[in-house]
Amino acid sequence: MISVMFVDDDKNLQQIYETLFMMHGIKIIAQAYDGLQAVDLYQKMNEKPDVIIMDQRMPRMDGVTATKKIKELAPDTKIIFLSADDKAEEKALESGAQRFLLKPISIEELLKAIKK
Amino acid sequence: MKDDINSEEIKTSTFNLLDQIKNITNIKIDLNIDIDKHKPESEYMLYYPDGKIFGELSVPGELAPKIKNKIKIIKNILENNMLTQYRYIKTNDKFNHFFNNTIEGIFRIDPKGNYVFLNDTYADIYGYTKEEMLEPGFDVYKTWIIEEEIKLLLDEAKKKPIEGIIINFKKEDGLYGKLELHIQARFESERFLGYDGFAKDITERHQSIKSEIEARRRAEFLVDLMSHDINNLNQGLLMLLEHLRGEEELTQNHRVPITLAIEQVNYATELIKNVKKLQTVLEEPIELAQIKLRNVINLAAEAAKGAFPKKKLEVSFDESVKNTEVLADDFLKDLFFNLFHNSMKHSERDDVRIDIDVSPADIPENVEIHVCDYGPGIPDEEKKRILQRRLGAKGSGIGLTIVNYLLDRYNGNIRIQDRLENKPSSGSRFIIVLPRGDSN
Repeated sequence: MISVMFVDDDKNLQQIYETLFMMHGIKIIAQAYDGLQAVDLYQKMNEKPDVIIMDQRMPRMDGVTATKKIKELAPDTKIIFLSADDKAEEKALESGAQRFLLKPISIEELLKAIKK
Repeated sequence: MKDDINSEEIKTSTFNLLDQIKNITNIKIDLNIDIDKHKPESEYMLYYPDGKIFGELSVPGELAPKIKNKIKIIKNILENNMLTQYRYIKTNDKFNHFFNNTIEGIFRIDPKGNYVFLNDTYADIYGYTKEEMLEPGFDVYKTWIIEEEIKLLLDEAKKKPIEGIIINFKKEDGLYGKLELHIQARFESERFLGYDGFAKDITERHQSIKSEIEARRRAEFLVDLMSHDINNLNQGLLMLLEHLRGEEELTQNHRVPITLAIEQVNYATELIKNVKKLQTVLEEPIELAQIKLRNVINLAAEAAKGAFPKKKLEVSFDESVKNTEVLADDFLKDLFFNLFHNSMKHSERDDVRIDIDVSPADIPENVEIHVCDYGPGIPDEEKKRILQRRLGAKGSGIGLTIVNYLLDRYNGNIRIQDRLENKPSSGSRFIIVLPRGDSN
């Protein structure tokens, strides 16, 4: 089963991801509400996630900065950006993200990107 | 003629001239200006150039005929002088009026920065009088506030004229403003004499530009914030609705409204995308270049196909399109995208056909591009409404608003006809006129 860490400051969205992904056989092993919490959580995790779904605009630390920090800790980590900020794509890919998906995206496409 | 000042000047000049004549001729001639109104006019009466009596010339005792002639000559000399003075004052008045009422303030400063010469407009900028500014010790450092900026500016102006530099200035009431300044050094046989310049108070203009930039930034920020947050909401909605639609036990009565709800979410997403696009179109500076029509149409068709995955789009064009270049920019793709998107959206068929061809326009500098679809057509009333769609117009969807603004940008225009004349149900013909980019 693929394990995922979700990083998004929208608590409603986190709840929706959690509910739907469990039904589609994806295990959410951690949730963070900003970049700083994501880096901190990632460092402390014994079992690292297969994929991190990262938002861009978040309080305290944005997704691009968090991605750079996580990539410094573990360069092979697969990070997929899922953001409503259409200007963030270039920076996200430069920071080491594998993909950039623009919200809103269908659940089908998101699952396909995670499983790929 | 301003009587109070000019008469006084003419009076002084006349008496001075008379004194000189008396010295040279030794004639004891007098000029009486307090004339008794009841006294009859004599042949030695002196008149202003406007015909009013100035005074009367007289000599004591009996007048010999020789003296009489001399007085007449003196009278002529004095009246001619008055006329010359009058003309000089009139010219001087005109010059002063012109000089003091120029749109820009004019000034001259000495090498130390003291004002030596300026006009009323220049003094008005600062709220001082001309006399106050010309007092000894009143220098540019009192009006232009940043000392280092002034020193640098004056040093630079010594090397070459400075045109249209914006500097800060301080008014008499303590308020600050912005000045557009032109200044150049003055030399005479390589000797540095100071500076000449002219200036304009642009405080209000500067503030309105600043407010406009601020308003734009605010609008950009709000659109960005709104689109970001709504798309976040749409993300949740879309995933939940798709999940519900995927339920195997769902009846058709439930599946249909859920599908419609998904379409509404997609429509909201499209609307947000268009609002952002429109904002970019309105704000991007216009730089037009030669654009190959064929490439743009292909890109727009691919984008439109992506927006309706369940429909097919076939865009066909002939040689006339392949060889045409127009004067436009990268946004031209969005113009065709919005037309194709519209045709696909309103087509009741899943396979949508669009034909494009190019023909000469009314003037050789332009070209007409005919985009024909086979959709349900557009009623005549709606055709007019579409063409007028700009900001503030009623109606949902802003795709055609973008088309109109892009055509404004390219100095083009659009008209809508039935694909086949007088057959609205045959589909629509969008005739786009754009400036030619090629020499053909």
